[in-house]
Amino acid sequence: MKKKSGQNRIRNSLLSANLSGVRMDICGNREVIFEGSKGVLEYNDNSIKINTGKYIVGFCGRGLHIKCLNEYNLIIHGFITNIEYIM
Amino acid sequence: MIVHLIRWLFGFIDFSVNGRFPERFLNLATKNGVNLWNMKGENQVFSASAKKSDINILKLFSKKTQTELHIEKEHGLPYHSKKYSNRIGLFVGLVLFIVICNFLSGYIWSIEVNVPLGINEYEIRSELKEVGFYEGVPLRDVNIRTIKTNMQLIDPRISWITVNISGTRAVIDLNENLSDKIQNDSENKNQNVVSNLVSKADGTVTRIEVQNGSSAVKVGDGIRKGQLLVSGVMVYTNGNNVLADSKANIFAKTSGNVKFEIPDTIDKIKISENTISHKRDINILGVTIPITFVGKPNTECLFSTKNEQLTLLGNTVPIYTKTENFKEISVESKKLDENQAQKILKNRAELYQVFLLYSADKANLLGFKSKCEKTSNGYVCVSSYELEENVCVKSN
Repeated sequence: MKKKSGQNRIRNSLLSANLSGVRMDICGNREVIFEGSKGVLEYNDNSIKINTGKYIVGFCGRGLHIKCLNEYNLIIHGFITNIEYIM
Repeated sequence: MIVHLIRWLFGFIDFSVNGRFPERFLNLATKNGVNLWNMKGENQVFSASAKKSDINILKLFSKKTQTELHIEKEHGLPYHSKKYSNRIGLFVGLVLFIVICNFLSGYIWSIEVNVPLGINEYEIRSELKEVGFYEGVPLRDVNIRTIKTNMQLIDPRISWITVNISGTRAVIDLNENLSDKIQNDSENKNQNVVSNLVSKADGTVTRIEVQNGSSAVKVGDGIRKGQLLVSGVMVYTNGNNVLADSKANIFAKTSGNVKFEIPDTIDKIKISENTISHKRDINILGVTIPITFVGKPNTECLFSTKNEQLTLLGNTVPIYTKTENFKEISVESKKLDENQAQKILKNRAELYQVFLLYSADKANLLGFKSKCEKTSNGYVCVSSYELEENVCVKSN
């Protein structure tokens, strides 16, 4: 019983992760393709914070800038030193 | 690059936004479908580029978010063409240029003719004009196959002709028909031809060179015009007769007389060194435009004309210049004295000697004597000459 509930929990969490609609493609520490953004909360040379709805994703580094941006997606370029999830 | 070109065509601006929360401005812009690029953010100042058509909506967002929007720079065709919006002539000129280019590219303006030796280029050009191919002909009226066929029909010298059209330029190459020459050679080699050689003038035989046939004369014999020199019938010692096409060079000493006369008063034409007038025309695309309006002088004059076609980077251009020059001439009657008359007659005699040597076959001038006399009308020079020449001709 316990095993089954554990498996269900994992399945549900994976499902919920896919349904939340946030996806990040990280190329090394230079480029991030971010899908599922709901707005930019902070934008400067050293820190960019993106609101996803359920949590905030923060990128810290040097020379950070958003290469292009539309309603739900953006591309961040720069030298990324930290990625943090702020719940 | 294409994206940049499209952005430039429609116009875009570089702007900066500063305030407490420029991120709000950014979010509003992206939520409402405004595309932003080249984004940078530093110290509460956010800069980016956007389309020209989004300026108004960005200003609205700037007001909503209580930020200041500054337009740093404007790029693109709409901003550049604003400078020339009052200059309608530029626009009209551009349209005319496009229309004229389009119109002119539908005609042949340059024809290059490559001919082999022995064929005159200008003859070919005039024949091309007869068949309807000339500078200024519309491309839609050109049928290459018809031109080639007609050219070969009207000029039998042409065995092969090609017409290559590239844009408004045509290149014509042709080859000469050598079949006549080949036929003549084969006729000469035909062993069934039998001929005799006869003399074309009276004289004394000095040298005999017979290649084919039997000689009927010896060195020292006197010969008359029409006399048989070489016979086509060859008799062998065994009694056989063979008919042949005679070939020989028989040289004989011939003589003749010639008379030159001039009156004692001659008209001397003097050409002035100064040119009276020039008349210049320019022909552009078949239209002749006079540059100078000068008529032909009423006095006697020497007229010369010069036509030139312009070339550009090795290609002929349909622009011709025609220059007509008029030089004044004066005619004065002059009475000749004996020395002058003799000098003129002597010159004529020398010229006649050159003509003799040129017209005779392998000739050698042995002597030329002239005697000048005064007559009632003028002066006469009687010249006698002796010539050693080949006197053989084929008999009919």
